[in-house]
Amino acid sequence: MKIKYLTYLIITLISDSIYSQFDEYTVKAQFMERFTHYIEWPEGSTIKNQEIPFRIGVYGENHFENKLNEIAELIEIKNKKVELREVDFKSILDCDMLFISKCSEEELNKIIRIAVGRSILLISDSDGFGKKGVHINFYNKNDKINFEINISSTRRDTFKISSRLLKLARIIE
Amino acid sequence: MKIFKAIGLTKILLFALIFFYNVSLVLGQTEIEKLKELSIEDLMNLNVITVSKSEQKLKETPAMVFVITSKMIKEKGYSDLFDVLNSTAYFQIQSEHGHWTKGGIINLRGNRSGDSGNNKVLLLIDGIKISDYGGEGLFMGLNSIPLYSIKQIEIAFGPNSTLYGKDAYAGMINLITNTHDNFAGYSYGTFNSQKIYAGVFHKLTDDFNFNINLYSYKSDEQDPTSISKSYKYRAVFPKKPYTSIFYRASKNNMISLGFNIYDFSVKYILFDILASETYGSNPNLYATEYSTLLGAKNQFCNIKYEKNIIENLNLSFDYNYTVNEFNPMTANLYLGDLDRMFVANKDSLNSIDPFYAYGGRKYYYFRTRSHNFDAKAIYNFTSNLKNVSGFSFSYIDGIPVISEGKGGNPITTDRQRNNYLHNFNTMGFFTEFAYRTSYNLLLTAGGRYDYSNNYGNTFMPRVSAIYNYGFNVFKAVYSTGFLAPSITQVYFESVTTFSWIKPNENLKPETTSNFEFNYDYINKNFRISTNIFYSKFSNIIAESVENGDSVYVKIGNDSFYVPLLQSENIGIGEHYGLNIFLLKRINRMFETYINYSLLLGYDDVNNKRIKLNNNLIANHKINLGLTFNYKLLSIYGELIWISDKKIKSNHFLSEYAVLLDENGYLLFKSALLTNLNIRLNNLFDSFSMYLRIKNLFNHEYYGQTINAQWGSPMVLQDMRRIDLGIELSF
Repeated sequence: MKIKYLTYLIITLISDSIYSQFDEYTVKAQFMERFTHYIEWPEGSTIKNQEIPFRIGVYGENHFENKLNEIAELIEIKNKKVELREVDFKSILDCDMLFISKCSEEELNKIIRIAVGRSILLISDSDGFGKKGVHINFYNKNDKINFEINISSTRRDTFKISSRLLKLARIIE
Repeated sequence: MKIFKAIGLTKILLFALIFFYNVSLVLGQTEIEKLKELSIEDLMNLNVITVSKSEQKLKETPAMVFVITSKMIKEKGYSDLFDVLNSTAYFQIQSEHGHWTKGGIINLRGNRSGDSGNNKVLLLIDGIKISDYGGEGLFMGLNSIPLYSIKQIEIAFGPNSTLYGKDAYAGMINLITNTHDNFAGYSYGTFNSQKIYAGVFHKLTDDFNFNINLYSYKSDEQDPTSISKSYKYRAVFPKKPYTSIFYRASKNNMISLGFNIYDFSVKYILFDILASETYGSNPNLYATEYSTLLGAKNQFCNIKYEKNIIENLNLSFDYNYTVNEFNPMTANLYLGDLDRMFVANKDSLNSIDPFYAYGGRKYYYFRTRSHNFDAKAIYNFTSNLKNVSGFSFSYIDGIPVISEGKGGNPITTDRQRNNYLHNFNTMGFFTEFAYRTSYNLLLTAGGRYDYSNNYGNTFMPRVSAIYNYGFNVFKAVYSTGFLAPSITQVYFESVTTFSWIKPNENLKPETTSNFEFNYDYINKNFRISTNIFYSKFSNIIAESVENGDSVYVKIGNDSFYVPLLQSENIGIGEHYGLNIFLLKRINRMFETYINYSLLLGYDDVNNKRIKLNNNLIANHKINLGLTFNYKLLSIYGELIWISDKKIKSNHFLSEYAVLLDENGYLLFKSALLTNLNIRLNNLFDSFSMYLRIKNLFNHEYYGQTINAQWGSPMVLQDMRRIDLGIELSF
C-alpha cells in the first residue's frame, strides 16, 4: 500500500515538472555554440573566410575537458569546421571566440587590451568580469545558467547581437 | 565462496557485462547529443551541477578538501556514507556493517571513535548539524545515511572549530542534497537486503518549491554464528533457556521534507533506526554473547532565512530543533525473543515481555533535545577583503545512557525522565577575515570563543595562507578544534556487579592543534594532491581505573567488590601522516587514480603510551581505482589495501585468550577489499540499472568495536555484498 501511495504522489507531483541535471560546463559549451547563431561578427573579420576554421580558445584553467571537443566534432559553426585550443597571451589573437577562466584583474585587463577591436568574442563565467569589459559573462542562479551581456563592449567591438539574445540576457550598460 | 556458487555469481556477472555492454551500444546517446537539440531558452531552464563551486572551495578553504559529486557517487556505486569514506583518504573502517552508534563506524587520521559512535567527525546535511549537540556523536551507523538524494559531499580534513565550534575535531563532512531531481529506485542484495528510495522536487512558482526524499532499508544481515571464531569460545552465554541464535536484522527509514519560499527554507529530516548492537552492528561487542535490539529516532527541524541585504552583505539566520532519542523499549535480548518482537506489528512492542521467562532484562534509554540559534554575516569590504562572522547559542537537555538492570523498568514517562535530565547551554562568537593580497595569495585569520555552563571557555584560532599559481594550489594551515565532553561522560552513573561508574562534572573538552601543508595540481587530465599533517591532542577523555580504589557495592542482598571507574581528562597524543592522491584521465573512456595514506603517532592515556598501530589503526592504506565510461555503460573497480593493526585485549585470562598472541594482542592481518560497480545510465532517457559487488575476495575482516579490548574482535564479518538495482529519473 505504501508503494502505491508513493507512486500516486510522485506521478501527481511530477506531472508538470520534468527536471534532470547536467554538468555545468557541458551546458556552457552548448551556450557558446548557440551564441554564434545570434551574433554577427564585425565586417573585416576572418569569420567569412571559409578556409579558416572557427577558432575557440580557452584561457586559463580548462573546465570544459572534452566537452568543447565533442561539440567541435559534431557541428559546424558559421558553416565552418571548429578548432579548439588552449591559449596564452600570444595566441589570443588567433581566436574568434575566447573563453576566459577565472584569472586575476591584471590578466583580464591585459586580455581585454589585446582583444579590443580584433573581432574576438570574449566569454567568461566569473563575478564582475562582465562589468570589466567581457562581452558575455555567465552567472548561476538557482542552479541554472544565465548570462549577462556588456552592451558597451559589444558595440565598441562592433558585434551585432540579435534582440532575442538581448532579451534573454541581463544587460550591462 | 559458497554464497557466490549458490547464486551463480560467475554467470550473473558474465550476463550482466554482456547485457550492459550491448544495451549501451544500441541506446547510446551522449549528454552532448541530447543537448544539441535544445534552444537557448531550453538551456537556460536546465539545472546544472556546478563544478566551479567545488573547485572554488578547494582553492579558498583553509583545509585539505575533498569533493565528491553526484556523478561520482553513481559511477562508483556509493550507496551510503560509509561506502564513500572507505574509499577516501585518511579514513579507515572501525566497524563495518552496523546501523547503530556502535556500528558503521570510521576513524579519521587515527582518531578512533569514542564510546559515542562517530563522534570525532562533524556531520552536516545542508549545513544542518546531524552530529549530536550533546556530544554523543551519531545515533546511527554511517551506513544508515543514504546518498541517493545527495548532489555533493564536501569533506574538510583537520579541525574546524573556528567556524563550527565543538565537535569539528578530526574533520567535517557536509552532505548537500539535490533539490532538483525526481527519482525512484529499488535494489535487492545479499542477506535479503532491500532498499527503496525516491525523491521528488516540485516548483510551484519561481519563489516557492518543495522537495521530499524517502529511503527505506531492510535486511536480515548476516548470521555471524557460522563464521565467528570467538563464537566458538563463548563461555557465559547463551545458556539454556536462552536461544543460541543472534538477532541481526536491521530496518531503517529516512524521510526528508523541505520547502523554500522567498528567502526562507524549512527542512525536516527523520532517521528512524532499528538495529542490533551485536550482530549487524557489532558481532563482537561483549564477546558476541548476546545481541541487543536498539531503536533510535533522530529528528532535525531547521528554519533558515538567508538574504543578500546589500550587494556586499549576506545575512543568514538558522533555528534548529533536534531530538535524538532511543526507543525506551530498547533492551538486551536474545534472538528468539527478539524475533518474536520483530515480526510482531509495531504496536505490539509493549505487549510482549520477552524476558518473562528469564527473570530479568536490561533497558537502555538515551535522549538529547536541543534548540540552536545561529546567525552569520558574510561581508565583502572590498573585492580583496572578506569577513565571516557569527553567533550561535544552544540550549540542550539531555539524558545520559540509562541502563536499568534486572527488574528495571523502561523509561517511558516524563516523571522517570526528569530524574535523569540535565540542562546546559553553550554560546559562541566567531569571526574570520580573508584577505587576498593579489590574485595569487589568500591569507585568512580568525578565531572563535565559546562558553558553556557545563565545561567553561574555549578559544579556537585558525590562520592560513593559500597560494594559487596556474594549476597549482599551495596551502599552509594552522587550525584548532575541540570535542565537548558528552552528556554520558559527564553525567552517567552505573552500579553493577562489574564496576561502579561515577559521573564527572569537571570534565574539560578534548582539544587539538593541527598543522598541515597541502599541495594540489589540477588540470583537465591529471590531478595530484598531497597533504602532510601533524596534530597534537590534549585533555583526551578516557575511563580511568583508579588503582586501589575498589569498593564494595550492594546490589540486592549481595555485596560485590568492584573497581571505581570515571571519565577523566587523562590523555595526550600526537598523530602525523601524509597522503598522496594521483588521478589520470587516460582518454575519454578511462580514468584511474591511486591514493596512499600513511598514519603514525601515539596516544598516551593514563600514562600508557600506545602506538597508533597498537590501537587498531592501520599505518598504511592504498586505494586504486579504475573507471570506464562508454556511452551509457559505466564500470568502476577499486582495490583497497589496509595494512595490519592490533590491540591489547583484556581477555587474556578468559576463554578468548586462545585467540591472542603471546603478548596478549589481537591481531588484524592486512586485508584486500574490492569494489565493483557496473552501471547502465539513462536507458530510454530515464532508466538506469546497476550491479554492485563488494569485497569479492575477502570475507573475513573487521567487526572490531569501539571497546575492542573488552570485546572480542576476532568475530569476523562476511564483507561480501552484492546488490542489483534499478533507478528511474524523471
